[in-house]
Amino acid sequence: MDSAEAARLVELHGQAVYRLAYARTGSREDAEDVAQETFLRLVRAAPEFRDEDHRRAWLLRVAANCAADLTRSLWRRRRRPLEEAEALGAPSPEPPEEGALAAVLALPERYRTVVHLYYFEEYSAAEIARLLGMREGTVHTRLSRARAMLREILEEGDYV
Amino acid sequence: MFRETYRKEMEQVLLNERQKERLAGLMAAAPARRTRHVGRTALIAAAVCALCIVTALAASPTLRDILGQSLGSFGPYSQEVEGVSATDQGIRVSVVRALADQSGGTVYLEVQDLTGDRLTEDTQFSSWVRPMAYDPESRTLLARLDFYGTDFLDREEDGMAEVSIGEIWGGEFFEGIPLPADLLEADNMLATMAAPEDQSHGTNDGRIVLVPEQTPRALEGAPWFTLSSMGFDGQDRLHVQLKMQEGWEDQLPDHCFYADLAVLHQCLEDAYGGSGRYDLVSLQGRDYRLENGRYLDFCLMPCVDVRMEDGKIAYDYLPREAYRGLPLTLQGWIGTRERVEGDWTLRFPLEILPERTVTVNQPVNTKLAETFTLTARSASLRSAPQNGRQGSLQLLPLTVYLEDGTRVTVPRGRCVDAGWESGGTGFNTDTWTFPDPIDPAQVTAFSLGYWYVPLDGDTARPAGWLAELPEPPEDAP
Repeated sequence: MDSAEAARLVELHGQAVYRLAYARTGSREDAEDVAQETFLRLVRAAPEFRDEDHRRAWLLRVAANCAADLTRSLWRRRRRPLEEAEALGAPSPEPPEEGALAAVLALPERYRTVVHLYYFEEYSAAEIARLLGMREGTVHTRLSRARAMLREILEEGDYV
Repeated sequence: MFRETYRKEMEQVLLNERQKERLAGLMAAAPARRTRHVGRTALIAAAVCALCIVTALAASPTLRDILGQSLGSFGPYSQEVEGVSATDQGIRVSVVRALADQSGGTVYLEVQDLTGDRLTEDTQFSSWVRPMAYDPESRTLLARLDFYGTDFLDREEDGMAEVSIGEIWGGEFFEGIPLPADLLEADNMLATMAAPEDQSHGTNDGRIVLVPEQTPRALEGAPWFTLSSMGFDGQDRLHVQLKMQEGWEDQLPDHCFYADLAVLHQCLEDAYGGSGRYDLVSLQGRDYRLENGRYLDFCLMPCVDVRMEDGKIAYDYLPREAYRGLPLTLQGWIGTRERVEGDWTLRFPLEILPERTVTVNQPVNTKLAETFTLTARSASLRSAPQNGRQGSLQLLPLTVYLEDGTRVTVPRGRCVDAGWESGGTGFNTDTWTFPDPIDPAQVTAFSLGYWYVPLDGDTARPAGWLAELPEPPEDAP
């Protein structure tokens, strides 16, 4: 892929991929790793797209899968007992946040992707279902549960 | 509104210009299609068995036996799954058995290479599937996915479950590769440099790696790599840098080799942990790839103190002198076959074992035990915190008492679900898995630690306290 095309694609889709990865992982470092892997897969697979919307949906799906894979990686599985045993971890370089974003990051991981795609990328439930390869009913269920949890976190009845 | 606030906050999460440039640079430099010079066992061309009615697992007595052993006495309670498979890149993945209740279970899969020889006993998957046994004759792998509550297996309201695999990679584990003790001497300080920017682990990462080839050595038991440099940097951190043999540059995945952290952690704990001399705060590592994976530099970071310095977080690491005499070895996993990316998504109806639920609604250990659910496979206790004190009961031993006077004790449980309900009430669901199946209808009481609860049908009678704990089984860990 030539440099100009690469720069164009990063400009068009980079932020969307990075933000989805951040919503899913909660870590800017991991989000950057995921974004990198996602775009490299685009180069390697070189699929045909109908239009940029199609390309965007493909990238978001791959990013969601890569972010999920990151937490399943061998390192994390085998290192987990040590992490659980550590009473004190080195503090995260990112200070704790408050607000809606923090509330989403406090959700269990499986809910964050659909919440982000619905509330930020403004996909419909049907579109999210197609994008992530899941049933529309599952998307509705996860959104519904996520809203209930967000409502409790943010302590406002009709906030969502 | 939430949507507006979320959008506004998320819009502050941005790739900066440097990150975008780096990303575009990587894309421009990456080959369009990966080619690998694995040079290992030649691919065996085999015709796809279009008329295979009998699964490869059924045709492999060895794998069938292993599956039977794994299920043990739960065999009759397991679900036989037929006709659920996905084939991609010449590899077929099928669900063959499942054993589940609401608290968790296991899905067994058969993975067969229809066109090549890409699977091994230690094949890794891009999901929570893990290998059990391999039959080279049928090129078939028996694998399992253990799930807990809603973790690790997608389960839907209508009873459908989904296993999704995106990558399959044959390889092998290695361990016990000894690292040279003389290189752990405190005076072994080596020259360092900065790894390329794309190897950054975040804003606090100086990307410090050793200059390659300062202490080159062969490593016993490691045909895939040699030692390039091993020693300390200016912050007392030990680096182990490997040089990959030709053709192996892409075969060691990220974060898949490390100087036996479990051994190191134990060594350091034994020598210094809680002794008042050094206390380990955390033990982490970072790895860096140099020259397109030709060198892998792993930096060990045993942290003994964290403090603020000039407004920034600063870490103190274990002094170099502390490493002297430690028997450090390498362990990890390396791909010895072609890395196969594909899409293996399997959906099937997951049968759940029948359950008996008892209403408890009594306090225990600052919590309110709400319900106790029994299946042939497990016992689960759902509890809610009282007075704002969260936490689960999983560390306590659980015993069920049966009508015939026998009892079954499980030394430790697992928290399979936690969260909160509307009204702000939190909950935990802890589960204890039985070694052999029980009949839920025969359970007359249960105890959690010393707390004893008699059961009467679907309700619990008032709890009491045991004078002594029931003895755990002889083979309990």
